[in-house]
Amino acid sequence: MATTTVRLPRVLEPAVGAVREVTVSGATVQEALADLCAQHPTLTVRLFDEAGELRRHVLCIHNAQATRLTQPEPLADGDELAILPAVSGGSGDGRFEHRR
Amino acid sequence: MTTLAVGTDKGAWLLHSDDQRSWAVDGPLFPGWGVTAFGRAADGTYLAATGSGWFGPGVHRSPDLHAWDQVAAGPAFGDSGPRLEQIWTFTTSLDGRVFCGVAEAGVFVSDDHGVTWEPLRAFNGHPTRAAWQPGAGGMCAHRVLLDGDRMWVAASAIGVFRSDDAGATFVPRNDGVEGAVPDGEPGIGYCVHAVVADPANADVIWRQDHKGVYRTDDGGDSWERIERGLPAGFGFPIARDDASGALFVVPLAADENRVPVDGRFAAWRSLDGGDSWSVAGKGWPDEPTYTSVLRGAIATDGDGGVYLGSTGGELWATADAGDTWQRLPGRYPRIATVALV
Repeated sequence: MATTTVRLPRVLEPAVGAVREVTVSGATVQEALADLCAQHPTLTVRLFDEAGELRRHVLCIHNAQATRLTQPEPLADGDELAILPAVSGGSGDGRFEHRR
Repeated sequence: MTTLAVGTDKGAWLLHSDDQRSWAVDGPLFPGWGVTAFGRAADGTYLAATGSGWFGPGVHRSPDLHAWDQVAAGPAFGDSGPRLEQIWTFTTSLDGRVFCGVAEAGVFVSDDHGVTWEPLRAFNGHPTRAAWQPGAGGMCAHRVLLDGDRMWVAASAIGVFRSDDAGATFVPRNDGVEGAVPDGEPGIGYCVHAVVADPANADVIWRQDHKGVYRTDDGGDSWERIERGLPAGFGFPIARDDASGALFVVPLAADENRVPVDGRFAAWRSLDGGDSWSVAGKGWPDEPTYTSVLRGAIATDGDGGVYLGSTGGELWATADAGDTWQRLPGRYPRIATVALV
């Protein structure tokens, strides 16, 4: 089982405080993110919707490649993981999916 | 001291005043995040709802308005239900339950001051739900009114539902209101934008609807239109100063043109329970102002204080039930919610 570090963006501060990096373990990217959410349960609703899908405007970067987690991705020691806000989604239209 | 919490598309601010004339601005809270509602639990815990185009909606708790913790088990429909899009309102009952109205239309209840939440199944799973249709503003449960075992839920674009058994069952209560959906399902298809009740007589409820302004004197069994003097029936917020009984709305030209009529930005006031309306006092901008006030961006303190936040990011306040208005310091992002905390 690989151990790696997930980098988190500053915008997630309301969910996890000042944490920027979390050491996680897992044989796959999916397992690593599950460990991330186990360590920081507030991230579960921030990264995933109620169907368990990665939120539409959240990027998960695995070794410089974006992944939508559609299939298990093996994780090796030294791999890099990062959560990023996509360049889309920041206007609020994703939050207020239906405007008043 | 008066503290006004202002939630915007990009963060929240607190405005403090000892005299309701000079104000100190504190913030931002949740920088970069949408802040869509504030509330207060019975144990004094402050509640805030955030939303993010990236990271979705969530509930936060604070003992002091500055140190906030997001709750892990916030409102959620579950993986087979509707999606939680936005948190619209917190309402705390006299016995300490916190009700949270959300989009897609639903209500959740917390019995531990906002730490955990359970669905209000009789509303969320109402037999008419399959026929609920969103309007331009989506489909959100944005107001919960409470009176003992009675409860009203106002949901756009569905209508007002009343429970007479502490939330065990709900029945649509919209007779007399013009429907928003032609030939819609009986009882639903009414686009209520906001409601406010008389705390001394919960049977009396005023309603800013997509199709006009209404009042009920029988708990929602029947509604009558009350628009005499208004420049337009369309608008979003409605509020009441309980000390004076004054009602406030902010009329907008029309559904398809959601700006003040002729750029005349002002609240309109009724001093006779909604029978007639006129511009509320003095102090409004002289220049054309084509901004509006969203349904959550109005607050009253029950003692003559009324506070409005505009889509242009300006705050307006009166301390004398609407006779005179002043603009509060600062210009903010689009204001979604204003609350006295």
